[in-house]
Amino acid sequence: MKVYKFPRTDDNIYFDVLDNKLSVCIIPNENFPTYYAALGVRYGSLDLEFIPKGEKEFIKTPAGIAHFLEHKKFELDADTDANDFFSKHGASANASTSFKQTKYYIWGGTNFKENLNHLLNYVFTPYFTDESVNKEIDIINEEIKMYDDEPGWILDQTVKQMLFYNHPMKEKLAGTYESISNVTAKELIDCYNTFYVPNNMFLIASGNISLEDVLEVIENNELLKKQKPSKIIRKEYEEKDSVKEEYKELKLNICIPKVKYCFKMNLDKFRMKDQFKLELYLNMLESIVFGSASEFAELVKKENVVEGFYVEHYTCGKHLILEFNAESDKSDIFKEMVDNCLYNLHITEEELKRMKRVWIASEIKITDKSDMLANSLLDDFIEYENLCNERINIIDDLNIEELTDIVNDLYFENNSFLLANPKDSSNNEK
Amino acid sequence: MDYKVEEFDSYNIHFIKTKKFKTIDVRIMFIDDFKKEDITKRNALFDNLLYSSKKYPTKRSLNIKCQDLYSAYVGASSLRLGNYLISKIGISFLNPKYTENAMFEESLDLLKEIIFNPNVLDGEFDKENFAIVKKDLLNEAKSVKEQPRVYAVSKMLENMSESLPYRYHGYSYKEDIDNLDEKKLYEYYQQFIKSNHIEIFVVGDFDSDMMKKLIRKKFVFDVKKKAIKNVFIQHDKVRRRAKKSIEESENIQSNLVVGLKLKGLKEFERKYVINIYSLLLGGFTDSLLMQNIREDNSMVYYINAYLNKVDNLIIIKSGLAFKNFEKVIKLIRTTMKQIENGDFDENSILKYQLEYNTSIDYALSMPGSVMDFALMQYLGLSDPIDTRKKEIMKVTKRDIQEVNKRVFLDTIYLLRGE
Repeated sequence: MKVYKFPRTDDNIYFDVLDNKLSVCIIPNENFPTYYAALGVRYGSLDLEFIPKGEKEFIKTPAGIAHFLEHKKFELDADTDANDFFSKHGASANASTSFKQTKYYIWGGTNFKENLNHLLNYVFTPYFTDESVNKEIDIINEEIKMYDDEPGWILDQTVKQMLFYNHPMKEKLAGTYESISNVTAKELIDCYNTFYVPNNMFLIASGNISLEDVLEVIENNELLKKQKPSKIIRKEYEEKDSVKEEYKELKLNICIPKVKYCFKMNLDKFRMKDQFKLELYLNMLESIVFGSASEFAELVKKENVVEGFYVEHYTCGKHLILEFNAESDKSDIFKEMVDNCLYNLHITEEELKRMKRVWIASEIKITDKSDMLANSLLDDFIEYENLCNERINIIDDLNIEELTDIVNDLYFENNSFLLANPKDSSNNEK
Repeated sequence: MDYKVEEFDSYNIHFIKTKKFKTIDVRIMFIDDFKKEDITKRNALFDNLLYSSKKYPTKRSLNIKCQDLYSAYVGASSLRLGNYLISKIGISFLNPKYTENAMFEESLDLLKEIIFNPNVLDGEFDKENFAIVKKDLLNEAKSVKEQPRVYAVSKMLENMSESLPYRYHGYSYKEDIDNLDEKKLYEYYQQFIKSNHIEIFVVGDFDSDMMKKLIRKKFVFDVKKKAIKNVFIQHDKVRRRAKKSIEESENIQSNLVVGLKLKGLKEFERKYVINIYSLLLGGFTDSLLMQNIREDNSMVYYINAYLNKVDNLIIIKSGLAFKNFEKVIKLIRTTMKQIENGDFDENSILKYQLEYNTSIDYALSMPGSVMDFALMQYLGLSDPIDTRKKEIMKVTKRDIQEVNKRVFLDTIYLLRGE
């Protein structure tokens, strides 16, 4: 195991890649009262088309299948659920699916070794039958309906359909009733066999644990020893730089109108090729120009243009999406103010320095929260295929020249504007 | 953790010394009897204090100062605890050993400025900032309806009682916002700062003597401490037949909220048995409700029970298809009967006891929860943590069956979907 020190703190972080190519990271922290462990799979809702392990042709799976698989993964046989073991041994377990990742995690206060061992055992034990798949459809359908009543979720899904032509980002993360109704046990097995392979996974354990305990479990887990790496071939999508739809209006059960204003940019057009650094710079830029201490944030409140707003970005294939979210009954003025700000971007060295200080402080603070730290490293590992434990040093090295290059490389011609108005206009009295 | 309370005439200081955190958190809690109109006034007051002070007249200037203090976080919130309202305002900053020594005092000065030097002119809060705060509160009040699950809980509680404090949610009320202006809010501030019972908490790695001197010097309140008693809400009535209300909505899913009243709990039951009862009923994925309704019948994605001890309530929440509404209610009743009959595995109690202890351990990883635990302990609402972890292990199957007799299904509310 290689050992690293977190910059500016005394915390150790251990990292290794096992012979079967499973990446393992261990962050003991005796000050944290509980333990946390997660097994992440680089497989999410975007991975719909791929060549199944041992086959030659691409297959297309239904939207929402990664999430479906996550639900069914807890079943170990017809009568046993993975949670039975955890709850008897003082741990809690859950799982989540995002666009690019499925994550199985546990937390607890006792029997760490036994529970970590069981985490590996259950994730590496596939059990899918058509009978249990059918039983799950109604449960997932209720989950989908719950999301479909959330205005933020509807806006998210809608704007992605406006931004993308081909990329599966346009599909709903959990699928639709129609798509999940077609899921079969055979498809789940294909997905599992293809993606749940050690070279596509990352194990992280943190909190009140010892390095020795984790190593002992890893060395002795029979199922883990049997796992073999295999190559994964995902479909690559031709995606246009333009957006599919520029403007759309919705009527929703809301009281305050909501806006999403998104910009689609090709990553090839940026001089900065290091995606991790590019995204750090974009975080800085968003915080400096649009964050809580920005002139922009002050102005939009003072001028009574928005109730609240935030900015974020994500990457998808070859594209970067910069997304402005607002609650505003003056959406046209908001749009104009965003445009005005973006076309006149200027950041000073002093502003960058202050923001670096803020981000470095956050990086120090997160080391107190072992579960959050583990999740942050896991998410970065899935996104960048690298252990990003040197964040603080990289932030320290960010400079105004590189940031200015990125500012100059940003372009805003391709954009989508989504406006959601209240269904019942009496909800929106001024 | 080393916990010590020092008592002074105007307030108590709770020192919780620990090397677990790289931050130092200072929080001032203002406690007073619950009054419905104070919910809105306190929300408006603290938003206003954080929006504008003499030294930091705009939100932006305050945020810039926080950034200069290595991302110090200043925040405030108000919540109801049984028959009381508690407002918390505090600052969390990196321990100066990771930054600069001067930051220690500067951070406390910032909190002092916000509390004691609001932006006031001619006996009223700054008009421009007040207008922004007022509009934000109005929008917040309106937006409750956008969140079906939150809205459904507030409506169930409203239906449950005509007069008890839990019928009021923590968001601001439109009629109370409309009644507020810059002058009235400033008058409320003047009365508030002189009349509340105050407790101050400090968590982190610090020198207690130095911290005490700084707090005594910077936070001077002209108040007298009060006795905080009768925190628990006692229900005025328990319905023999549950009250059922259905409200139409345009949502896709129906949101169900069921209110269970707790009446006549003995001390050990209130402190411990009811926790295990609630976890067994609907705590996590391994609960009886999840087993009976989700796993055995595929009717819901989630169904959970939340215990609120000071309100003497358990609230069950779920999302479902309307066609399953009556069936789910029947299954909830059957599940409660199942507990009373002891039709559950005695060995499963241990897992809920471990879950309870793990949730305490986990909460101790957050400075905010450490302060909340200390307050509850100080007010005599809960035992010290070590005692809690030991006593919970004494809960038996018989205890759980017995406590079910003091749990009453009182109110059913459905926000009906398609």
